[in-house]
Amino acid sequence: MGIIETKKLTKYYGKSRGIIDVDLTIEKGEIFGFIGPNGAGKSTTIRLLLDLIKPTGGSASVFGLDCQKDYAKIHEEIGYLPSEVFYYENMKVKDLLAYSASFYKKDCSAKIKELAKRLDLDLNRKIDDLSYGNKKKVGIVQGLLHSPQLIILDEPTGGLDPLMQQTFFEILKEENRRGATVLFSSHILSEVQKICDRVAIIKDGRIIRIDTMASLTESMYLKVAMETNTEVPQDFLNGSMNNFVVNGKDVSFLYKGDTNELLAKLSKLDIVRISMSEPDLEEIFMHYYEKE
Amino acid sequence: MNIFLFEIKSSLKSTLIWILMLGIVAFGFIQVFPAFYSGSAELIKMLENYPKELLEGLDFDPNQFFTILGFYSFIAVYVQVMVAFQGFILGLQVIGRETKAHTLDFLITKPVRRSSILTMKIAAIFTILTVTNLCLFAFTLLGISITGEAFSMAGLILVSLVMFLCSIIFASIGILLGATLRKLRSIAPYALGIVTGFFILNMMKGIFDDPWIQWLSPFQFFDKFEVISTQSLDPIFLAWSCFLILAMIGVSYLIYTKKDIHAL
Repeated sequence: MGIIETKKLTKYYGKSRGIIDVDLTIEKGEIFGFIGPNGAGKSTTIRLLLDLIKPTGGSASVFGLDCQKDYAKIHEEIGYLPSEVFYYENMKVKDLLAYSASFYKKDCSAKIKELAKRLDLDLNRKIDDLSYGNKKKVGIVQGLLHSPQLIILDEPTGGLDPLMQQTFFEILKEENRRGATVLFSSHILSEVQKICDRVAIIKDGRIIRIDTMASLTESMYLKVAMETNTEVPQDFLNGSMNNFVVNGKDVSFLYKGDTNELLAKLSKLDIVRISMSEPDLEEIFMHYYEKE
Repeated sequence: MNIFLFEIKSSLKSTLIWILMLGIVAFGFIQVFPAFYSGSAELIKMLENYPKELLEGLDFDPNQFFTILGFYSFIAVYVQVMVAFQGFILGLQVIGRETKAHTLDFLITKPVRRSSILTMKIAAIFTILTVTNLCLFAFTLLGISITGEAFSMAGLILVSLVMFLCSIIFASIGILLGATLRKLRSIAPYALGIVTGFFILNMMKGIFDDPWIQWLSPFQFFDKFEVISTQSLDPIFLAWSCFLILAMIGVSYLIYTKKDIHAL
C-alpha cells in the first residue's frame, strides 16, 4: 500500500470542475512530482488529501488512513507548505514556530534552530516585517520542524532566490534520505525535473500520465538543432521526425527512433555545427498537453 | 490546550482594556447617584411631562430609579451594550481569527480535530467573558459600597448575571458568524450593525409595545427592574437564552467541522 492512495477522487465546486476520477499511488520514500498549469487541479488534490476540502466522490487515504475520518492522526506526520504563506499578526518568527511545534508530541527546538540557520532566517524578527521570501522560509521551517514522514509542497519555491532554492532542494533531499516521502506540486517544470523520481501530469482535473522521470524523458523525442550547407528534405527521417523547422541554413527537429540510424543519416550531410539534447520537462509537458 | 492559551494570550490586551473601560463606566455612573438622589423630587416632577413611550424605550422607571440598584439597573442598559459589543467582537475575532489572517491552512493542517479547535476557542471566549464579568461585578460592588447606600446583594448578582448572559448570547452570534464567514476583512462593521441593530430593536419595544420584540432582542430578555423586585430571572427567558446559545454554538460546530477551506 502506498503512502498516498486516491481512488476515483473527484471534487466539484458547485458545477465547476475541480478534479475528476484521480487515481494516484505514491510509494514510501518517493519524491513525487505533480505537474500541471494553474487551474489543472493540483491544489484541489492536495487540499483533499489534507481534508481542507471535502470530496464530491471517490476516496483518499494517507498512511493507510482515511483522509476524512482520520485527518488529525494523519496530520501528525504531515508537513505542508502552501503556495501562499500567511501568518498571525504581531507575532515573532520564534513565537509562531513555537506555536506550530506545540501541536506535535516532539521537541522541535533543535530542528527549528538547524533549519533557521541553514535558511538564514532570523527567529527574533516580527513576521510582519519580513519580506515575502523570508516569510516563505518561515513556512518551510514550520512545515519541516517536526520531521514529518510526508512532506506536501504546493508550489513552494515562489519568493525564494536561486541560492535559497538550492538550499531548499538540498534540505528536501536530506529529508527524503531520512525516509520522508515528498509530494511536490509545481508548474515550474525545471524544479520538478531537478528532484523528483516520478511525475504525474494533470490536465483539466484528470491525471493524463504517471511515469518515472527517467522513462518520461527516455520515451521522448531527441531535440536536434544544426547548421548545414546541405538542403534537408522534409522526409529526411521517414516520419520519425516532428516539429521540422528550416530557417535558411538552420534546421531543427524532434526525433524519436534509433539513434544510430539518425547518426548514419546525419553523417551524409555537410554539417557546420550540431546540438542534440533530451527535451526538458517543459517540452514533454507541452507534448502531452497537445496530444491530449 | 495550546489553542486555548494562544487565544487567551492574543486577546489579553484587548480584554484588559475592556475590563478597564467597563469598570470606569460602571463605577463612574454609580458615583453620580448621590447627586441624582439629592435632586430626585424635582427630577420626578420634570419627568412626569416626558412621553411615557420615551421613558419606556429608555427602560426608565422613576419609582425604582432613585434606589441605588434601580439607578444601576438604568445605567446597566448602557453597560450591557458594552458587554454585548465585547462578547460579539470576541466571538467573531477568536473564531474568525484564521479567516481574517488567512491562516486556516496553518491551523487546520495541524494534528487536531476541527471540533477540538472550536472547543478550545469557545472555552477561551467563555473564560475571557467570565473574567470580564467578574471584574465588572467587582467594580460595581465597589462603586455601590462607596456610596454607602443599602442594596440587595442578590439583586446585584442577578443584574450582573443578566449582563453575563447577554454577553454570552452576543458572543454566540459572533461565534456563529465567525464559523460561517468565508472572508473577514474587518470586525467593526459587523459589530456595529448587529449589536446596534439589536439595541434599536430593544428601544422599539418601549415605543411599539410589541411583546414579540422581547423574544428577539437579547437586551429585552430580562427586565432588570423586575429582576430586582422579584429577585429572580424569568425561567422562560432563561431557557430561551440557553436554547439560543446552545443552538448557535451547535450550528457553529456543524459548519466549522464540515466547511471547505478554499485556497486563496
